[in-house]
Amino acid sequence: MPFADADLIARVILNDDHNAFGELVRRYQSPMRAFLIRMTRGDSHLADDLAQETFLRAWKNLASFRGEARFATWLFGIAVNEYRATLRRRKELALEEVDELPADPEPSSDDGPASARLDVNEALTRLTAAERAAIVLCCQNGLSHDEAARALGSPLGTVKTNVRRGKEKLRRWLEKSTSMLA
Amino acid sequence: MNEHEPNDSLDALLRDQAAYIDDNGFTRRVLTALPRRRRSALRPAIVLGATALACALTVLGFPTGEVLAIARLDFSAITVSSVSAVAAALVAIGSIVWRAVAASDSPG
Repeated sequence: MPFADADLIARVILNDDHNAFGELVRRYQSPMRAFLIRMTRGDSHLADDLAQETFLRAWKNLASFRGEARFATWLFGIAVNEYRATLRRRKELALEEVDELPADPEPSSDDGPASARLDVNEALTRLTAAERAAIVLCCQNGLSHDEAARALGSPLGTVKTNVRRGKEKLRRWLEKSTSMLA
Repeated sequence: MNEHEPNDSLDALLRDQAAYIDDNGFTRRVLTALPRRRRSALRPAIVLGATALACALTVLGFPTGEVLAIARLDFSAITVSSVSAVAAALVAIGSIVWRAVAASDSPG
C-alpha cells in the first residue's frame, strides 16, 4: 500500500529521508513538468530546470508546509513562483503584467493552413500566461478554483475569470479551425 | 468545487491532452542536487548554554573536600549535596557528549 503524502513528508522532516522525498518527486514530477512546459510554451529544458528548482525549494522549505492545502497545491505554488522569478530574471513580463496586455493573439483566417491545424496544445500557447496557468491547473490537473487561486496567489474571482475567458477563447479558436478544416 | 459544464467537450479534450511525462532520470537528478538541510541556528547555542550551565552547577555543587571523599569512594561521606553534585557532573558530561555529536552532525 503506498504511503500517503503526509507520511512521506513527516519522514522527510523528521529524518531527512531522501527515499521518502524521492517518492514525492516521482509522484509529482509529471504534473509539475507538464505544467511548466505549458507555461514556458513548450521549452522542455527550461521547464525541467524550473521543476528541479521547485523540488529543491520544496526540500528546503518542507518544514513550513502546514498541510492547510494539498501538497500538490503547495508544490504548484512554488512552481508558479519559480516561473515568475525566471521571467523577471529574463526581464520578460511577469504573470500579473501579462494580465494587463490588451493584445489578444487570436488566430485569424489569414493565418492560412497553420491555423487550420490548430490543436489544443497550440491554442493553449496563445492564451495569456494567467489564463493558461488557470486552465492547466483547473482543467488538466484537477485543482479547484480555490486551490488554483492559492497556488497562483491570485484572488478567486480572477482565477474564475481567467478560466472562463481562456475556455471561451479556446472554444472559439478550435471551432474556427474545425470549420476551416471542413 | 469547479463549475464544469455538463458534457463539456473542451474539458474532456483538455484532460486528454494532459499526458503523463516519463521520469527519465528526473527524480535521480533532483535527489543528487539536494543540499544538506540546515539545522536551526539556535541548536548549537542551546547545547552550549546547557553545557555551560551544567559546568557551573557542577563547580558550585562540589564543596571543598567532597571531591576527595568521592575520589576515595568513601560512600559514607556522600551527602545530599554531593549526590546533586554528581548528578550535575553527569549532566555536564552528557552535554559535552551531546555537543560533540551535534558538532559532528552539523553540515561541514
